[in-house]
Formats: sequence, C-alpha cells, structure tokens
Amino acid sequence: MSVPKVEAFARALRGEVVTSVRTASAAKVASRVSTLGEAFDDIESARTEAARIKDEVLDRLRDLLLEFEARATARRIQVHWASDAAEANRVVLEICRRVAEPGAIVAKAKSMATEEIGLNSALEGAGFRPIETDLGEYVVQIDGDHPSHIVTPIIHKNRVDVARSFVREGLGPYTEDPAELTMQARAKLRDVFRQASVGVSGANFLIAETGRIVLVENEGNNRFSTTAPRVHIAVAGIEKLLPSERELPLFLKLLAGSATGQRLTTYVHLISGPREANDPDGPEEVHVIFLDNGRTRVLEGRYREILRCIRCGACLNVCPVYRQVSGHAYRHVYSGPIGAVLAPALEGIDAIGDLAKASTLCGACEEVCPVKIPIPRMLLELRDEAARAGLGKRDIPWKRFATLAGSELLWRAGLTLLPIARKLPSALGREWAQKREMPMREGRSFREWWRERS
Amino acid sequence: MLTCLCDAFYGEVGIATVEVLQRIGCRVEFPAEQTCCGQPPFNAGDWAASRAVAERCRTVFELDDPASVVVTPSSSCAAMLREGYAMLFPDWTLRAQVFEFGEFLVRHRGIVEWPGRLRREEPIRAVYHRACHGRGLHLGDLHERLLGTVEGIEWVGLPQAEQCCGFGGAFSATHPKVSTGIGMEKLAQVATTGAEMLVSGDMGCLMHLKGLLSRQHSPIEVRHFAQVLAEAQ
Amino acid sequence: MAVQKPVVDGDWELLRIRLESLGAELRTIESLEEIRGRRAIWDTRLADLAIDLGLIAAGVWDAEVGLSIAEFAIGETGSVVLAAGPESARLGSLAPPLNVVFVRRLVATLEDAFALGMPAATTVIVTGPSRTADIEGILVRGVHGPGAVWVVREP
Repeated sequence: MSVPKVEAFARALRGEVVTSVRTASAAKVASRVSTLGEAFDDIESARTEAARIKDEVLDRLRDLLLEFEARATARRIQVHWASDAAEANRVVLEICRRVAEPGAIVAKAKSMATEEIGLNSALEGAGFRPIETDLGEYVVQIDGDHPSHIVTPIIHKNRVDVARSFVREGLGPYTEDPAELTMQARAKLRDVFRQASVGVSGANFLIAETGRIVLVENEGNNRFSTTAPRVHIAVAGIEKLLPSERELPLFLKLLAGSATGQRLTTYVHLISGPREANDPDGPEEVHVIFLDNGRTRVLEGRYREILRCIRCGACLNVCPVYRQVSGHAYRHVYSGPIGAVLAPALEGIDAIGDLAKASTLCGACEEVCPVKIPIPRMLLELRDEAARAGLGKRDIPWKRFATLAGSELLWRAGLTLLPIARKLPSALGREWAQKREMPMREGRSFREWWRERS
Repeated sequence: MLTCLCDAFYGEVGIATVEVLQRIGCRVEFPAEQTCCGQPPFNAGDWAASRAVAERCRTVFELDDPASVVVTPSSSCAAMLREGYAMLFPDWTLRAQVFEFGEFLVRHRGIVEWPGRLRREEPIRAVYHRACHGRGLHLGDLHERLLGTVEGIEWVGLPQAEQCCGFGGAFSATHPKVSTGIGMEKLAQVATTGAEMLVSGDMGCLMHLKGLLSRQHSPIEVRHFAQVLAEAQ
Repeated sequence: MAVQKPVVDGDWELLRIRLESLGAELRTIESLEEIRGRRAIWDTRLADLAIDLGLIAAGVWDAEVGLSIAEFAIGETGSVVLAAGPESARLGSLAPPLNVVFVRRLVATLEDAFALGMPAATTVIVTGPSRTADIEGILVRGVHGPGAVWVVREP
C-alpha cells in the first residue's frame, strides 16, 4: 500500500513543529470562542447572516463587480481584470515598469492572493526587489520557505528558528526574545517602507456601493505599504466583494474574532483612493487587480460555497489533522480544511484531489467557520468525484464489501471469520497495528444473545 | 440498528442499548437481516458501493415508513441515515424517524435524569468524549447532561473537547501516523483530567482510543454511553 | 424603508477599560506634560497645543510622537477613527512610536460607528497599539506602528 502524501509529510515532520502548531492552534481556538461569545449575542445567527450575505454576493457577483468598478473609477482608483495568475502578474509588472526604476523595492503587505499568483518570483524575474513586510511573511521570505498558515505564516517555526535566520541576515545580535526579534525586524523594514516605490497588498473586502478597499491587519506594515510608496496595488480575488459598508461591522467582528480572537484587528483601513491635492501624504496612484484564476469555474460548480471564505484560518486552527501535519503537507498556498477544498476546486482534482482524503470528517471546521462553509460535505463530494474519475488508489475493495453487506448470510459468515481474518497479514491491518491493538470481540455476541432470549 | 462494530466486536454495547430501551418501556425489534448502513464506502468516495448497501438498509429498516423508529448507539450511523443518504439519493426523502441512542432518550422520550448508581465501591472519575458525528445531529452536551445525573461517577471536563479522536474510519488505516497522532493528543488531554474511565457514544472513537490505550497498558476503562446507563441500577 | 436605529453614545469608562486591555491608555490633557519638548508631528489643528507643549516639529520618520484628531471613538472595541485630510499626514499616526489621539465624540458600538457614517476620505480605525503574535503566538507591541497609543478626551 503506497503512503498518501499528507501521511508521508506527517511521518517526516519534526516533533517540535507539531508542538509549535498544536500549541498555537489550541490557544487560538480558545480565544476565538471567548471573543466571539462576547462580541455577539447569538453567534449562530451572526454566522448564518454572514453566510447569507456572501451567497448573495456570489449570486450577484457580476453586477457587484461592475458597480465596484464604476464607483472606484470615480474615486480615481484604477481597476484591472486578470483571468489568471500570469495576467495578474503582467498587470503588476506593467505598473512597476512605468513608475519605478529597475531594481526598485516593492513593499509587500501580507496577501494570500499574491502568494497564489507567485507575484514575488515574477517581480524578481523582472529585476524588482519585492520585500515581505509582515513579520511572519518576512521570515518566510528570507528563509526561502512558504507560509504554512493563512493568518500566521510561521506557525511552524519557533523563536530559535527566527533568531538564527535574523543573525544570518545581519538584522542584529542573536536573541531568542520575541520582542527583541520583532524590534530587529521593525528597524530593517522601516527602511523598506521609506525606499519602496510601489506597495502591493491584497484586500479583505471590496465595497461595491462605495468603491472602497478594506484592509485589516495588526502590525501596521499594511498601512505603511499602502501609504508610503507612490503607488499602491491591491490584488484581490473576485469573491472579495461586499454590497455595502453596512455589512462591514458583522464581517470585521467575525473575521477578527475567528482569526486571532480579537474584537477588532488593530487597523481597519478603508482606502478611498489616491491622495487629494492638498494631502501631505498618501499614494499618487491606487490600483485594484481583480483575480479570477479559476474562481468563475468554481462559482458555477459543486464547490461554489467555498468562495464565501474570508480567510480567517479558524478551520486550520481547530483541525486535528492540520495540527498533526502542518500547512506544508497541503502543498498549496491554501492549507488546512479550506485548502483541502479550495486547492482542488481551483487546480482540479487530478492535481491535488488527494487532500480530500486526508480528513477524519470530524466537522470541527464547519462548526467554527464564520460563513458556515459545509467543508465536510465538500470533502465527501470531492472523494466521490475522484472515485468516479478513477483517481486515487483503492485501498479497500468496497465493491466486495458491498457484496458482503448485501446478504445477511455472507455478512454473518464474514463476522464469524473476523477473529481469524484479523490474524491474517494485511497491509491495512499492519498500518492499524503499528501503534494500536487490533480490536477483538469483547463479551457476548449480540446476535447470539438476541436469538437466545427471543 | 446495531452498527457494524457492535455486530463484529462490541456485542455488549448492543445488549446494553436494548436493556436500557426496554427499561424505559420500549418494544425493541432487531431485524436480523441488517448489515451495514453504507457509511464506510460512502466516506471513502465509493458512492456506487455505498448506494447498494444503503438501499438494502432502507428496506430492512423501512426508512420510507413514517411509523418506523430507528435507534442506533452511534451518531455516525445516525448521521449517515439522516445526512449521508440525502447526498446519496438526492430524490429520496427519509420518512422514518432515525435517532442516535442518547438523542432518542433525551429528545424523543424526554428523559433528563437517569435514576441509578454505578455498582462500584468508590465513585469513579470519568470523562466524556463527544463523537464528532454528533455535530451534524446538533447533539451538543446532551449525553453529558444525562450521564451527569447517574450516581457514583465524578465527571470531569475534557479540555479541547471539540477535538476529534482521530479515527475517521478508513482514514485510521490509510493515514495511521496522523490518526494515531490525533488519538495520542486526545489521550494526553484525558490524562490531564486524571480520569479512570473514558466514555463516548460511538464505538468507532472508542475502538481507536482503546487500541491506543491497551498498547500503552493503560488502566483507563473504556465504556460506551449505553453501558454506563445499563450498569447504573 | 427600514427606520435607522439611532446612534447610541458610548460610555467613557468602558472605553478606558477597553483601551487598557489593549495596552493603550485614556489620558488627560494635563498628563501630556510627559511629552514636553519632544520631536513631534501633529495635525495642523493642534498647532496651539504643540506650541504650549514646546514640541519640536519633526518629519514623519523622525518624530517621537504623532498627534492626531479622531473623528470619533468606539467604546465597544476601544477604537479611534482617523480620517486622511490636508491637516494631517497619514503616516503621522503610524510611524512615531507614540500616537496621541484627541477625540470628542464616543459612540457605543462598531455598528453605531458605521451608522453614524465613516468619513468619505481614506480612513483607518485604530484599535490599540500595533501588534504581532507571529513568533510562537507571543504578543509583542509596536512592531511597525506605534507601540503606545494615548487617547485624550477633548473637552
């Protein structure tokens, strides 16, 4: 029996990574519960309402996108459309080439969309210097690593890892104090903000009615990256729209509570466009690049509700499998339960459909999801789709199982033989018995007991 | 509905379930031709194989009949009948009333107290593990509340109760490292409570945790919800 | 047409508690003596106060203190709402290690804040000091933005 990829990752993972991920995840699960409990009288109806609004957005997506474009354009925000990653990167590069010198610094605020399109390598390939300015993303970048979590990119690293990287990069003397490490990064990245010609961010919400870009963050690097450079470019998936700002309080509270257990993130930035004539600072140009990259296809298919996602990461934090395998096992920018659906939905099940099987279907993800995405149902549907497409190995001969279960006689014969069968060598049995005793019949047989007493 | 695991290994859980049902005045039938509900192949993605098994189950338990009441000591089998079949057969409607065992006692029969005492010399310290399939059935803390009224047990809260045991059916064999890793984490939480007994409402979880415990030669007793109620006299 | 729920005023004591739990402070004007003579950048509407406090005019990147005026504060979340405009540099509330924010009006909740209306200009809702928990989930304040935020109630 060949080992599934996620399982193989888990076997190769260092124990301390599991510890880091587990500890941080458990803390976030606890703070999420207490914060949302205080923020909402009825969290259940808040989640239902948020799901309804997101569904409405998906239903009216075309109209809302056009409305946003019209409003934003009236604010002098330039709106671009990219059908795939290459097109999105091309738009960014065209802007950079127009406004910045070769070799110019591009300040990157944390953004999953730019991870998705691989913007950093596109910028580097064109001779620019993209620098991640979120502390975690910065560490990921200098280590040549990938984020292992949507919200906390270096959940898989500990302070010693960060300390070693900072010494290597010449940020300061070796220290394992998180506060001192943070200050070393602050000093280094200040220069980046001052020197950058272009700032690139994602977007948390785009408001159709007002044409504004909404960004949330805690560190302040996002505000710097979108304020200090001459040009700000926001790359956003087309599903990021909200009809109006009236929906924002609900979503801001759900996002902050679900992601980091805060009532509100430290900064909620409502960007109305480039600086006005008399403003002392602010960007001269603001661009929004709408990214499709497979989303329209997802919108029309079986996994449509996955586009409700607001990237809070709560499903990762609560997921028992994620805690054992960490984000890299998912081999995609979107990891954890959301990634197990979104990655194959965007890329195709033949590419990465195996993720759907790396789940116990426990349903904790759906329970915490602020927009009630039915992730377990989608994982089942992905498994069905993969099986029908003839993908994946059949570990267990289910057809034979069905034959057995199709007849009382065969079924009972099978049960009688089980105590013998469990002694036979089988790949599945071996895997089970690595760390667990095989089950055995305990006490009386129900069927015999029932027969005897009736 | 007995469930595969109780049919194969844990007959005592089925017996306890029947004893409890009879004690509260139910007339229990056991259709001997029952086999499996079809969940294992369903979860594995082989819906064709699952449909074949599920169709048989629909007939055996008369699931088209509103007068039929099905009780099973497993939230996972109950969830399969109530939610899984809706996915397998989009044009079919479940008419029978299907209950997870604890749900039947509390919600259908209105039993909120279980008069009785565990026959032990000393009160036993116990934790309850919520089976994950209870989420879809919205069972909440229904089992814990009923068990809390049984005398002779000191219940302690299980930290990180929302965490799965790691069983996940075929997952436990296809992803053994992940599955046992999750299970060990669950047992570590159990250990923090100092519990002498681990109780749950689903033998899937308990089979897996029991397998881990006995490999560690742990003295922790593993009991199904139905067994605790049956033992309390 | 639904009737708009009236905007509810907030409780200053609750704001104080919220700010403190965030690691920020509700300050009196008198307590600003502490920043006397510092290098600062301020909202031009605060020029008189800056002179009174003997503040030394500095650029965004050199200032030790940034003085801002909020449109209003939000009690439930412990936030202040800052709008961009010709009177103040956007980076003035972000780059200096200490941000002093003057505020007159307080609304109760985030919903009230949006019902009252967010400024049309680029706006930031600031809730406490800049923070990160990227390294082992340990909270560190002042990562890129100010590590200290003082909110001063204007009479």
